[in-house]
Order: sequence, then structure tokens, then C-alpha cells
Amino acid sequence: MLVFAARQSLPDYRVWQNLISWTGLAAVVILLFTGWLNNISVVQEFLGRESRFQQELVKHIFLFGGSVIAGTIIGIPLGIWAARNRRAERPIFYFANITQTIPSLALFGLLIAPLSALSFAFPVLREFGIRGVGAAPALIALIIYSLLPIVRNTFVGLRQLDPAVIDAGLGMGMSRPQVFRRLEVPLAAPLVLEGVRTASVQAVGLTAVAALIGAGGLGWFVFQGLGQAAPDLIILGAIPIIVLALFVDAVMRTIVRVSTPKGLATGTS
Amino acid sequence: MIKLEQVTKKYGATVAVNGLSLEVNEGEVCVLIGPSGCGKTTTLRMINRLIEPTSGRILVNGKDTSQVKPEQLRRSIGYAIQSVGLFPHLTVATNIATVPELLHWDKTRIARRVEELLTLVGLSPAEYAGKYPSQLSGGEAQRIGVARALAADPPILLMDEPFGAVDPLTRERLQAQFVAIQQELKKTVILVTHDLDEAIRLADRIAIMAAGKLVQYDTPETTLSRPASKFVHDFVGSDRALKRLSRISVESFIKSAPTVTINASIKQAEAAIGSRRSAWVVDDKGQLLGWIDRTDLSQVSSISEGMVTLESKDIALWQNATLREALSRMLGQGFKSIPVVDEDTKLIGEVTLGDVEAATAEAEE
Repeated sequence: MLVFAARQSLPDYRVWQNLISWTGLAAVVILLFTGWLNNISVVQEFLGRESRFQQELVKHIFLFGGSVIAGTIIGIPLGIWAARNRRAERPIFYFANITQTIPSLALFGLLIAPLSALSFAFPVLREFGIRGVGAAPALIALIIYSLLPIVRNTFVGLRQLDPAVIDAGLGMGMSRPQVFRRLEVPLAAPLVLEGVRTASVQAVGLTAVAALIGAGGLGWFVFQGLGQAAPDLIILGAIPIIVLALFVDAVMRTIVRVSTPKGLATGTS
Repeated sequence: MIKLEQVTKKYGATVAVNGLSLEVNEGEVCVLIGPSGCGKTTTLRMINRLIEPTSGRILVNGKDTSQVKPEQLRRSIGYAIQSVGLFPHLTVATNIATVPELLHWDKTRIARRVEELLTLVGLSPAEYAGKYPSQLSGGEAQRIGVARALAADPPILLMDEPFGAVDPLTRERLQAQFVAIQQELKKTVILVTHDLDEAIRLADRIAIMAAGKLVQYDTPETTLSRPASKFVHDFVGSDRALKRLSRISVESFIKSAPTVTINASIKQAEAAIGSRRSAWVVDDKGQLLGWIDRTDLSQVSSISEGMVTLESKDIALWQNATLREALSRMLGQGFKSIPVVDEDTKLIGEVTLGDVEAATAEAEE
């Protein structure tokens, strides 16, 4: 997380950061594959739990990926609604801001009670894995967390548009849907995707905490390690979480860059 | 062409436009002017239904606009605004092509039209078509805005302070270009401005508005010489006579001026000047070089020795300049007469202070 924070604070030197972080990682990966590091205890731990590791890694990706996708599907329309309707704006942001201030562990805990009540009332839900603990409350909490950055950026993306651009579009005879499709979507897209990026990176980290309520994921190793006072196990969980966060961040940055219209990119010549 | 009948727009209790009736003839430039908040922009935006009137009718070509789909109506009316509103993510060419694309023109026709329009507004298609709005200067952006409004060759053009956001020098150039383009295209134009000089320069008729009402609708000349009310009188200001000069072209005041060619002998020069104080000096192609004083002639051996050199572009007027410019040039340079040149800077004559005074007096009648 520290690595990530350091990177975040220096956005202007992106090329260098990427170079540094990726060459370092690449070196480690190469060393791992060549067996050079087999004597290190973390690697020993890994070799002993290879299938469990893969299983938790997949679970982790499923949890954060699923929640960000769902958060995007819910968040973008909410953001559009807030930008269009002044009366909807306040309650939407009130909700999104409140949820963001609840500590993640508390939110996971809060969801346990209503979900277990629900699954007791309708046992059929249990067939779909909806219980007080496990993936269901984790997914719901992660979706709620991913909403704020996506809603906020969609809202800002639409609101920051030069009103003259919309006025000119309408004045020249574009229909409302044409203004949306031809002007608002391409002009707001970079900011919306930036919100999705923030939500994704944040979700990778939060998913680790979800292991505490039995959702699994790489956090499982961390908490196992904490419980058994086994630092190697903690590191076995922590390092992949960091790598995953950096990787997701890099992928999303690329997507943001590619989706930025040429005329908007700074320093076009 | 455009007819507003008792048009009113209310926002809650406030009345933005109050029972406005106005008719604009085909090919005419009507300038809406008035203090801010007088309803001029609201009026403009009601014509293409960006704002719906509370009551009253607006007819375009005899057709009630409320019966036409807004999008369809707007595609047949050019629209240019002060903040330009170029689409920042699209190239200049794509921006200009907006309405033709909405009308589903074919690609080659659009490309040809874009090139035509860039040339019309005086920007090289090769250089500008691929640029993005962020790479344009204010003046260039405004010109692209006008080109975009003209793209589908609409018979009507609505312009909301189209030359507002640029420096005075660029504005004057854009206005001159607008006059030239309008002379060629003969669109029906409604233009909103708060700049009276702009109104006087561009308008066939000026509609002065105050508090949502039309207070005078006349030609610039009549508005200046016969203000309909105290409000209009105060609005046009005390320098009405001066303003009127900007409606009068120097062309009809050009007189032949005493001229000598640079190679002429002193004798020939003396003959050309006669009893006047000085003569303009031109080269053998007729281009203005300077002037020479009669009293100096006796003391020099050649014209070039006694000549005072002039930068033609600093002092001479184009033949399509206005008397106001002539007067300001005379006062600025301390000359009683100003040479007038054609496009090739060939001297065609001069305008004198006496002529400007006479014109002012005549207009005062």
C-alpha cells in the first residue's frame, strides 16, 4: 500500500514510476520461475499451498472485479441522474458520502445481520449463497464502496462540460439523445473511467478485509498469518494484493488514456 | 422572412420579453441591442425554440415555428454564439460538418463544403481542417463558429454576440469580414450585441430593446438622427454625429489629389501642385510613397530629396473605409487630407477634413 501511495503522489512522473515498479516486479517474477528464491520462506509457504493460493486469488479477482462492474453499472446512471436533476443530487451524494465514511470492517459487519435474517426468512436464498457471512455481504459492501468515486466522477464529468458546447449542439439541431451520444459521452468518458480506476484500485485493497467475514480472497492468508503469528503467510497474501492493485491501476490508466479524445489530451500538437 | 407577433416570455413573475412584435425581411441584417437583461438573447433563442415563448407566435417563412419539430427547425437556421461552443473533441472539419452530418449529406459533399467554408472565412483548409479547437486563437475559433453556422447554407442566421469574445482589433477585422460575406451570401441575419458601434456598422435595421420591449426599430441612420424616445437618445449617446460617420463610406468623397511621380522634374511638380500646399508622391506604378511640400520644392534638386516618406499602411485608407476611420486618421496624424488607396496600394485620391465636416452637417439635418 505504501508503494501505491508513493506512486499516487507523483502522477507527473508516470513513465518513471511504471518503469521502476515493473522492472522490480519482473525481476522478482523471473527469479521465482528460475527457482532461485526457492529457499526463501515465503516461497516455501507458497509451494506448500499452491492450489489454495490459486483458489483465493481467483476469488479475490472475482470479488473486486464483480463489485466494480456492478458498481459501474449502478454508479454511472446514478451519476447521470444526479447531474441532470438538482433534487436527486443531494440525496445521492449524501448516501454515497456516508457509506464512504463507514469503516470497511464496520460495513461488512453491519451487513451480516440483515443478510442472515433474510436467508433465515427465505431459505431458498441460501441456495444462491446468500448468507450473513461469505461472499454475499462482501460483494454488497464492495459495490457500495465503489459507488462514490464512480458516481462522483460521472457527475463531475457531465457538470464540468462547457454549457456553450451543449447549447451549440442543441442550437444546431441535435436531438437530446444525439447531444448525449455525440458530445456528453465522449467528453465525460475520461473522467468517468478515472472514477472506475479509483474504485478498482480501492476495491482490490478492501477485498482483502472481506476475508474477515469469510468471503475468502488473498486477505485470507493475511489474517491466517496474523492469527498464527506467521509473517511469511502475511507476506504471501500482502504482496500479491499490492501487485494486483498496481496491475489494475496500470491497466485502467491505459484505458483512460486510450479513451481520452485527441482534442482533449493536453499538449496536442 | 421572420415575424414575431406579440411574443411574451415569462419566468415565474418576471417578464423577460413583453409583447414583442418584429419583422425581419429576407436578406436583411437585424441587430437586437439593449442594456443587459433587456431580453435580446431570450428573443433570439425563441426564434430557434431553444426557449419556448409563453405566448405569441413566431413565423419563419410564414410558417408557425411551434408547428415544426425543434430539431428540424434548428437545422435550417444557422446558430453562432459568443462562447462559440466548438466541440473540443472534434477537429475543425468535423465541427463545421455538424449540421451537414445531421442532414445525412454524403461524405464528398461534406468535405467539399468544409473546404469552401474555411476559404470563405479566410482560413487555409489544408492548415486548419485537422486542427482541434484548443489549438485555435480566439479570433480563429469565432470564424470557425461562423463557418459551422453557415455549413448547411441556411437562409437564416442567428448570432449571439458572435464577435464578443475577441480583442478590439480582431473584432473589427471579423466585422469587416462579416460585412463582406453578408454582401455575397445575403442571409437573413438576427444578431444580438451590446456594442452600439457594432450594431451601426453591421445592421440594416437596429431593434433597440429595453425591459423586454421594443423601443425603436429603424435603420441606423434614422435611429441616430431621430431617436424615438429619451431612452434611445441616451442609449445612442451624445456622440451620435460621430457614430453616424461609421455608416458612410469614404468612396463617394474621394477627390482627385495633386500627384507627382517620383521621377518627375521639379518643374513638373510645381505645375502639379499649383497653388496647393503639397502633393502626394507615387512611384511609376502609382503606389503611394509619400508627400512633398510646395515650399520645399525650390530648395531641392529632385523629388526624392524633398519627399517625406510615408508607410502606406499606417496612413492611407482603403477605398471601402468609413468616414469615421478617415476622421480618426486625420486627427491621429494631424493631416487635413488623407490619401485613399486601392487593394494594390495604388493612390486613387484623397479625402479632406472639409468633406467630413460637410458630411456631418448634412447628416445632422
